[in-house]
Amino acid sequence: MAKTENKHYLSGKEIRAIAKANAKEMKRLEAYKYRKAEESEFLTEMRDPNNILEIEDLHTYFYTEQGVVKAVNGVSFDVPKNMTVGIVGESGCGKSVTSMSVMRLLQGPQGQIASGSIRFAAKSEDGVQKNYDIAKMPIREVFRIRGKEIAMIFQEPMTSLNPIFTIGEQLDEVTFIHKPKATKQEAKDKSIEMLNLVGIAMPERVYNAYPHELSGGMRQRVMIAMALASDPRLIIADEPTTALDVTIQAQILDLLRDLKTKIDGSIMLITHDLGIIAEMADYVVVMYAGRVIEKGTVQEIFHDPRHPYTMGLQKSKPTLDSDSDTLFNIPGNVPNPINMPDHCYFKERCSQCVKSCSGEYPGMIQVSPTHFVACHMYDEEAQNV
Amino acid sequence: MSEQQKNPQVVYDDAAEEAKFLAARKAQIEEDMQKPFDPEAVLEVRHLRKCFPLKKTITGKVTQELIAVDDVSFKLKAGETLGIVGESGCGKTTMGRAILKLHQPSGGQIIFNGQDITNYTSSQMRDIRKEMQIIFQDPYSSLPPRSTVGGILSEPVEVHKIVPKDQIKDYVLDLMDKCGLRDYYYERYPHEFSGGQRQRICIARALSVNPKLVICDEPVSALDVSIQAQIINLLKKLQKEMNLTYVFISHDLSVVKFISDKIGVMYLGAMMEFGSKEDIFSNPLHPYTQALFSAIPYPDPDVKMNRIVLGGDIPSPANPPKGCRFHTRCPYAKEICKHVTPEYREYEPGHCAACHKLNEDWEND
Amino acid sequence: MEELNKEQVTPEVEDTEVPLDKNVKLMSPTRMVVRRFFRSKLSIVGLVMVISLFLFSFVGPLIYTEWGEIEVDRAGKIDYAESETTYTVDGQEYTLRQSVETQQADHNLTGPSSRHLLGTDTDGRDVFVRLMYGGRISLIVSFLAVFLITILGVVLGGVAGYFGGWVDTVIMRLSDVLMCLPGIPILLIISTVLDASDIDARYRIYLLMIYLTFISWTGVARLVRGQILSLREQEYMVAAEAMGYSTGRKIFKHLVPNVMPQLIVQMTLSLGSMILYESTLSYLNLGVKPPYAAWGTMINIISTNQDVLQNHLYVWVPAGVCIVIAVLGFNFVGDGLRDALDPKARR
Repeated sequence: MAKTENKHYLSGKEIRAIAKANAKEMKRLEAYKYRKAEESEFLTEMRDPNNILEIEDLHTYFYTEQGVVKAVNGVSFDVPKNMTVGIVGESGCGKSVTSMSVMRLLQGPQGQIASGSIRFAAKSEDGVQKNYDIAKMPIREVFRIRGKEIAMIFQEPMTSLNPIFTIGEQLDEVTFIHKPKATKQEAKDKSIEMLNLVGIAMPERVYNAYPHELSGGMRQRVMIAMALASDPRLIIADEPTTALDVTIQAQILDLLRDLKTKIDGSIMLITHDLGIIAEMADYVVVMYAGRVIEKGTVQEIFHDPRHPYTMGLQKSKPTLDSDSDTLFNIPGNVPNPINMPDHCYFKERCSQCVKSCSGEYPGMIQVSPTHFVACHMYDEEAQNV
Repeated sequence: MSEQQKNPQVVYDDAAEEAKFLAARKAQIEEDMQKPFDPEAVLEVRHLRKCFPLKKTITGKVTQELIAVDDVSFKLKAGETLGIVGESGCGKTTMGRAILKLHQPSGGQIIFNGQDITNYTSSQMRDIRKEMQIIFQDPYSSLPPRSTVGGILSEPVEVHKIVPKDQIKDYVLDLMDKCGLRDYYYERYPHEFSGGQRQRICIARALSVNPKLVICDEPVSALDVSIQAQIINLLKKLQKEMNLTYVFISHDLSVVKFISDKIGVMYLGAMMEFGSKEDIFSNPLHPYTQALFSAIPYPDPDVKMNRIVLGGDIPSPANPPKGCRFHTRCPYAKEICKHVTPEYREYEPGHCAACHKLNEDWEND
Repeated sequence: MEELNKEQVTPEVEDTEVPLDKNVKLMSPTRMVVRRFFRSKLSIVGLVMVISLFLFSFVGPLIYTEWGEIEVDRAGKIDYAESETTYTVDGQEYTLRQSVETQQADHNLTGPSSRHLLGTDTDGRDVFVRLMYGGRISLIVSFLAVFLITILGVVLGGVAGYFGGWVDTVIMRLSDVLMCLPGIPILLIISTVLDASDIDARYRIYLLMIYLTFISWTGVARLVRGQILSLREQEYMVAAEAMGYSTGRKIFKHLVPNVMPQLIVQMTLSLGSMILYESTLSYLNLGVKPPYAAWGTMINIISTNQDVLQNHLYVWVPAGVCIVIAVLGFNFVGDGLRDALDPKARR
């Protein structure tokens, strides 16, 4: 048995080699993460003052026993002020890991930001505008932005609230962290105001309720209220409606859309559902296997998709008005994240391959001022531009 | 409220209404039970009911129960697909399992292949099992982690003696090929596969015993869009090849539309609307069905849908609202809905629904 | 959208599957467990401790055969006691010079030397050799006890978990009752009964451990029952039910193999506690009785002999060290196995 399997499974020697290489890298990155640093070390300048978040060439790796998983492999995109950026992709494409990298919530020591920069324009305090590079921040300094400037809404409303505290206590806590000098009454007023804002009909009652007394939709509203309690500049919503029923999802999406006009901030919406993206987003980033393969405005992505994957994704979703007999499908699976090939990751599943696809990974090609695509089909177009 | 103030003469007595409803239903059930079985139908479900006890006294008497499936009836011919749509807690999964008798039904009849299997013992069921199979939602927990793919697929073939012992491996490899699995997966363990591939293994396992009926319990909900399409196409292909009958349970209307011939919409344990695919999609009668349609996000930024957003939450199935179950969220609810359970009636041939709004006296009530 | 469809590629409806990437290697399940076990330094230490104890107790006596378990070193040095007795017979003085060969009774309480590596105890028996034989008893007894506990626990817990209902109620209430029984007092009573009846000192410990088995299966039974209750809800068990497998096949081919990992962990951890139990019994003079060796018995000497406690550490400290090594070793291995076998505790 062992003999036949040897070809397929890693040998002990290989495992030891991987472990050794990983240990070295993890140690270096952990040391970097826990280092002491002057503020000047992680201050930076934004490329465009209209952006609130700029991610540039971000690499986030997981050093697993089976090899290095490049979960995020050179991702770049911007989140402009007061806009919603939708990140869409299938499971394992690195969309959640990107958001975890922004929040610096990666599980160490395996998960590490290996390189790249995440520039964030913080709120100006006393007239001084500070821009931080989150990727370079020591983990101790992250409290400056996490929860205060960037808030996150998780997928699982059932488990993201602490079951032993009332909703009120958990909401007040956010206010206290944000404004340590606030009195109890002020915190309560703020919490009630937030509950009102997210459309909870009886905020006083919910304030005193425990999480288990609320339904999934209500809990997600509370989560949104918690995220808003600190007036963040950026809200990261990681699959906020995936765990909810369709009719409840419709409520939450309505709420998020409303909120966007009410609050002065941007939303980074992560989802696998193209329908939600079409409804909510201004800009769309399509990710595949740890890379951005296409990005542009929502109009460009839905009306003029360029990458075969984006096109396939749109066609494989059955819609209520389609009448064909068989669904279009993209054959095959996402490649294994360890040992990614050198050529385009989508090549095996792509039906429009050109000669250069066997060559190196395609670079980002600009097809319009806001529309970028990583595909060899547009190589010539790029030269013309 | 305002309705009642306008017409103070309309007063409903909840207890009496309920008694009336129950008596009518009982009579209907007794009448239907006596009817001969439909010879064309592979599966016929009559007034299926499944309750779970919530509270018991010490002596074992049930004092409170959760009615997971309440009075569901339908017929299904060979080669057809019935899509069941509903939100969480609507009893669609329980219904699927009750049909397979993984839960013993609390009432009603299940007629499979011309036999009333409702009261079959587990040893009688064992022979029927190979005729009806199930595919689960979660491809991760539905495969035993410590067996190889080959072991998982050959075990049912061996137990039910589908082919002679020495042909089992060839049979399984042939089956794997049909389901789009490579032959060298035979020696592998489930944990090495992605969700889509695991779901293919699950499908292969269900089909290994040549069933007539397959209950697909949200088989694509846990998968990515591009993989979903693969699995749905595979299911459709296999249906044609093996003349399978599907009961396809899902919360996603667009998926159900694609695969089904008939569709049933469930809410809090009861069938709200039932009809052919065309009926349901071109002319949804029930307000809940309409709301479900409009709740689906449409993948086109320019289409601004006139959405019916249902307020409120899904009530707990342990304590469903009186009268029409849907009245707490229904945009059209009137006083009558709060008290009188609407009759499940055929409004067009083969198109049934349970809603007061569809009755003629709705406007003048 | 419309335009798009025209220039679309031919729709791929053929059911295709790109094969698993052949150059990507994964870890086999066994190797994953082994790897995770050996990643923890503590479990390696534990394993070394356990293995060396085994070698020491079972192979040791075969190699080091100088002394037996109950053999008393009587080879004291030969001495000549000179005595002169003068007595008078008939007015004449006689002097009787005697040279008497004497032998020291036992070679007791001698410190460590090349003759006795760890010295001898109060009766002149070799401590080092007795440590080995004591280890034998401890290991054999605890393995036997754990084995019996596991069999009893798996059967009763499995039956309770799988069938539920009144069977479950009866077994679980029985286990509640057994858990209420005070262990040591009842052992004292049994021991007194055993003293009264004529039973070989070497076998009484087995009888006591059988009693211990009888009251300690409850832990394993609860574990197995809990596991089976949760596994029964897993969809692959529902699938097995839907496949129409027989009850026996479901239990033994599908449930039991999935309970095994937790069971192995539990068994390893309870080995440590059984060794502790055995030593306690022997220390209280309930288990193995002198002259037979057990680690507990070897420590027991200090309860009556102040002098040994203070001045002859080599008599009882090594036995204590052995107990600590055994218990720690099994616990380390158990913890290591738990982390290695539990896929959720991935770190």
